[in-house]
Amino acid sequence: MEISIVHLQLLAAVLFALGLAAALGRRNLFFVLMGVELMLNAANLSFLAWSRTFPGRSALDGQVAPLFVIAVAAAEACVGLAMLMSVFRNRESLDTDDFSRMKE
Amino acid sequence: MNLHLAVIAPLIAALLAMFSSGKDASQALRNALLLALAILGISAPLLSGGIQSTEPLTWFVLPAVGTRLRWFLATDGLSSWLVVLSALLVPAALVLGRRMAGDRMREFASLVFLMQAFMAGAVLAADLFLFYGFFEAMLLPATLLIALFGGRDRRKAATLFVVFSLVGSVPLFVSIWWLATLAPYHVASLTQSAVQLEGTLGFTELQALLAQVSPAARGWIFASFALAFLVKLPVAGLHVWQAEAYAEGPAASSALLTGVMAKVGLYGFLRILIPLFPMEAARYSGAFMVLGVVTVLVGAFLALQQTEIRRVLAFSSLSHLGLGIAALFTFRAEAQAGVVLLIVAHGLSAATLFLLAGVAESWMDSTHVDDFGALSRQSPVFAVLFALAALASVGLPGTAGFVAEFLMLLALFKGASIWLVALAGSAVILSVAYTLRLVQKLLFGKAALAEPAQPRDLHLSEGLVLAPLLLLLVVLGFYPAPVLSAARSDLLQRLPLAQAVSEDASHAAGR
Amino acid sequence: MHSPLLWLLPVLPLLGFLVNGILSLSTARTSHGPSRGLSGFVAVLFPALSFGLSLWLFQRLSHDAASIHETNVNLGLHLSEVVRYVQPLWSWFSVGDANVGFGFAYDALTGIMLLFITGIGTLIHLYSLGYMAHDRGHARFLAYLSLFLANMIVLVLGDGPLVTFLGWEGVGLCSYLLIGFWHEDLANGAAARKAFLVNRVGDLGFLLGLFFLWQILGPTVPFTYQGISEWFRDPAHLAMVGQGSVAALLTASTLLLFLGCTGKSAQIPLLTWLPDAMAGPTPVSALIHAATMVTSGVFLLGRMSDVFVAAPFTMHVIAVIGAATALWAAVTGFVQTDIKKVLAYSTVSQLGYMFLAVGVGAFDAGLFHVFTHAFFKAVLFLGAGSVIHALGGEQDMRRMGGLARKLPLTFAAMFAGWYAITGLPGGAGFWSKDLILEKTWMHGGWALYVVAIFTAVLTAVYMTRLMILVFWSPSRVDPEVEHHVHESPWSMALPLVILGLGSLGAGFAWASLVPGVDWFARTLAPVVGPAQDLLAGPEAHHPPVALLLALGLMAAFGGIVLSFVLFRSGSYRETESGELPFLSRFWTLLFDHLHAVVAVWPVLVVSWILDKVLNPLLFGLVRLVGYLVEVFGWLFRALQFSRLRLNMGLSASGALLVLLGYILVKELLK
Repeated sequence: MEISIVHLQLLAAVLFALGLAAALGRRNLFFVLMGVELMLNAANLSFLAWSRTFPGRSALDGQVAPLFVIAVAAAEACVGLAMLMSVFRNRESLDTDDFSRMKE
Repeated sequence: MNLHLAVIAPLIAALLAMFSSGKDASQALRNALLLALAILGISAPLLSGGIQSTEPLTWFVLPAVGTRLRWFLATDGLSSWLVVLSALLVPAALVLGRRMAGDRMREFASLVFLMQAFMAGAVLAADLFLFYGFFEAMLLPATLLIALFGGRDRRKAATLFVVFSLVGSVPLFVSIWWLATLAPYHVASLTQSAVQLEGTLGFTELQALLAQVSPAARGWIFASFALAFLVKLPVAGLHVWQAEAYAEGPAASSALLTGVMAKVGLYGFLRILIPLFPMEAARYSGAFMVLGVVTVLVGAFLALQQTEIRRVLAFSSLSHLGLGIAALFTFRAEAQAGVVLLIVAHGLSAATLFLLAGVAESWMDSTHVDDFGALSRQSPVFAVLFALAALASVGLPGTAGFVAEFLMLLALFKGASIWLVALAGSAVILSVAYTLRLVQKLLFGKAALAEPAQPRDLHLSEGLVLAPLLLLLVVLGFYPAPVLSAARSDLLQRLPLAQAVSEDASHAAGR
Repeated sequence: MHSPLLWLLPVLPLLGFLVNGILSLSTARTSHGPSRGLSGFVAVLFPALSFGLSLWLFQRLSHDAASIHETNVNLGLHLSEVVRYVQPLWSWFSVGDANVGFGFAYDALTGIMLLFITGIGTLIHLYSLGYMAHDRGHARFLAYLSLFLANMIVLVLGDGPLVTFLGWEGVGLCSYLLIGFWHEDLANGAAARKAFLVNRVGDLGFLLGLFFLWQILGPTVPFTYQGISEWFRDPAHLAMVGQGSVAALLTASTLLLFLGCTGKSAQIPLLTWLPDAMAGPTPVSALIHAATMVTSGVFLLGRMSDVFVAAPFTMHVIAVIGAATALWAAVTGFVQTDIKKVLAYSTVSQLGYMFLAVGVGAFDAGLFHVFTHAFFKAVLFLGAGSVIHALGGEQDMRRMGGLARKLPLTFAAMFAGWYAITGLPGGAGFWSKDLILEKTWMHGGWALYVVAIFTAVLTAVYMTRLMILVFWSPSRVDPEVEHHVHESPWSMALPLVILGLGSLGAGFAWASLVPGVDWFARTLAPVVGPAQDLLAGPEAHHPPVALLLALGLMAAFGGIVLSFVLFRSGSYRETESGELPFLSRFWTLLFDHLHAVVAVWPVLVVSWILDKVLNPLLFGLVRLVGYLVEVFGWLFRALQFSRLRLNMGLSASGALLVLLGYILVKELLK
């Protein structure tokens, strides 16, 4: 069976849904972050899949976008993890339900 | 080349001061002082250079709009004097700031240099975008100085300062942005005409550009410009931030705020507002004159009631600079010369007073005038300098302030009405009242707090950085030509336009 | 004529100021201050040099004037030409229409003023050496005094009103510094501040008057005394300023200028500062508040005589104010118990005489009184200072008496001063006051004359009262103090002797009754003559000289006799210590009350309202905005959930909804 664009998009969608579920379902900030990463990579996959459908050089556009995303994701993971550690140091907890200071 | 250096050198100095080796505060002060003197050496030649400008360099083009943002500096006598004024005040602020900065001298010096750089940029910028950038950037070091090195209520003061400044400058930003969107558009429509718009907001191009804008829109733009400068100055009604910032910030920052930053407000009127909007300026000249005189009076009355040294000085600044606004809107040559001289004279005398007030406060550990006394006996050098600066600030003949005040009152007399002059003049009397009260409380009488165990006076270095400022005030009092000629070098070419318009208007009204 | 030396006149005392100032500052840390010999030598040397220079200049001026006069006579011309040495130095400022130079000019009026300013100034520097010998701050005192002298010289030497104004404010500053010299006592400081402030009111008038004058003259006339005089002496211009709006401008201008003079010369309404100024050391009172600075108002009127005669209304005002001040101050002097206060009010009263003379158009008589008054009032003050010095600081006349024998030299000097001021025959005051009375009779009308002669009676009364209480009555001095009473050192005695002789002899500069003895009038004629001739016209009738002389002498003798009757034999009401009776207090402080009601209270009320009402209101406004922002923030916050996951879920479903909606709409529109 040839892997068509539809399969790839379905895979991306599943990955995205998993990431979303993780981000929404888990209370641990660490896992929320991982969920976000997963969603980003799902989007990357989707980009690449679509790029195959474009002819000639315009296909490159779709391949460049994931490069940006990867760079941004790396930065985000870096900063996010650093913040996580700092939060943990201050609050002794990574439970998202504990974080409601903006509201108070 | 010198122009670039005048802006960039303080920036480099800020970096060097921050990262220079040596944790020792006095070492840091020595380094900073050397840098400040070097900058003074770089800036001083501007005075003899007359009108000069750099090659405009395109920095970048605004995406989607097409307006070019340029690094473009120009100077004439007025800008040069402002740059030199700040270069003169910075060494004094550094040396006397030592008492407030304590161990954090490096940070302090760095912020002061940053402020100096942005001020120099603001008065040298020949492109509206560049001007706006520097104008806003001044806020940052000023706020940090207040918030980091200030007194008890420094947070509140810094907040008030920022909020008020933003209230003034956000409308300015909006109108500049709007003008920027127009600039390239007019290139297209005007290529055939003699005026060559290059899609920039250089001051010369702006004049042509504004001529194309509809009068109603121009009125709004005028109002936004005026608001920004009136807040910086400030005038009565918008003065709430002033006393707080001047009294709660460290004395050195108050000195720079009143010595140079408030002057950027006047500079804005003199160099940007009136030349760019002659019609509007002429139409609302009456309102501005009244506003100026009201400011003069309100400042004087409020200063009479204050019991903290630097609040008295703050309101005295309010009062003295108000006269500048009132005079400027007569569009007379005397007024411009007077205002330029006022900028220099008041910059020197008020900054000196603030710095000395800071020293006195550090001695007594109090800001309330009743806690002082007998400083003329305990600290004679301090007393002489303080008294001299106070006399210069009330405009005693023989100091530069007198010539400035005389010219401004004369302009008001000729261009406005005798009643405005009488009102402004009576504030001059009041200024003697509150200034002498301050002098009396600080220098004379009996010591209110315990006498110091050993004699204390200004350090030699402190006297040495302040004395030239006062000497300059006296020299300019007898021979103000160097400053007055600055007013003539360029401004007169533009301001007669507003005068002509205002005369037309009064003729029309008369008919 | 150009003279390259004029700048030295003010610079010499200025050098004295600088040297003594630096001496004082550099020894501030030491316990006894700079060497008295050095600072004293410097202090006397420079004013003396200045005096020598002005003597030499005056001699040259007289010589030049005589030779020019001779030439004119030989040519058959009847011109009284002004001999004037000028030294323009540099352009002060030149902007638009305002073109003002900085320079000096020296003519007969300046010459005469300079002679007694530098002369008496030198003597008083000398006197101060003794008077301030035991004061820690004597170098500072001498420095201030020299600075005053420099400014006073600039005032009379300036070639235009603005240079004069420089000196005018400068002497005000020095007066401030010297009144508040003993600044440990805050009352002295308050007196000093009051002097400066009240003077500033006058100075504002001066400045505005100049603006008006400038407007009349236009930008083309050089704004120097020479330019102004020549413009006003032109008959065409005189006709022009005589009518219409220009006349109103001129009246406004001259009235405002006169306001400036009332400030500096302590006339109604700005006279309250002078009595308070007695808080300063006595040499200051003698030099500044009697002999020189306070007469600069009269000097200015003389300087600008050509302007003032063109404004007849102003001249009337000046005469009336002068007479009223003379009378009011004489009455006030009558009820004082402080010896210096008596002299202060006497000064105000005598200044009133001078303005009266100027107001009736006798500029030379007014200036002559300035000249003689400088001598006799200086000696009276210095004598009073000597008395105070001898009594260890006591100023209350109720605790003096019988000092004639203990302080013979001081008594002799003060007697000379008393002889002169009461107008006894031959004294300095006799000649000058008589002249003023005569001119008032001729040009001022009988009402002013009556006031003037009544004031003369009062003058004799209060001055004799002073002499009785201090010298002639039985001693009421505290025995403790009496033990230490001593005559002053030579540095104080010498000025007393010289000035005492001066107050007897100065009048012979213009003994109007003796034909030919009119050196003063002849010298001044080129300066103020044209203005006076314009006002007086050709002298049609001669005044009844004998009658006026008799009246004047009767006033003096009558006053003295009256005083003896009142105070010599009667009970000493003054011996009771305590405050003045209510009525005298009210009368003394009449103008202080007026100032309080008209100016001080309104200012305080307005500033209080601004500070306590307006400023909080503005602050409230700012706070209101802050609160509004907070309220909105609170409102928006209420819309949020405190669960992070719930928030994320909601935003994810929101995004989904938007996507679905978009697709739906797109499909439906297809």
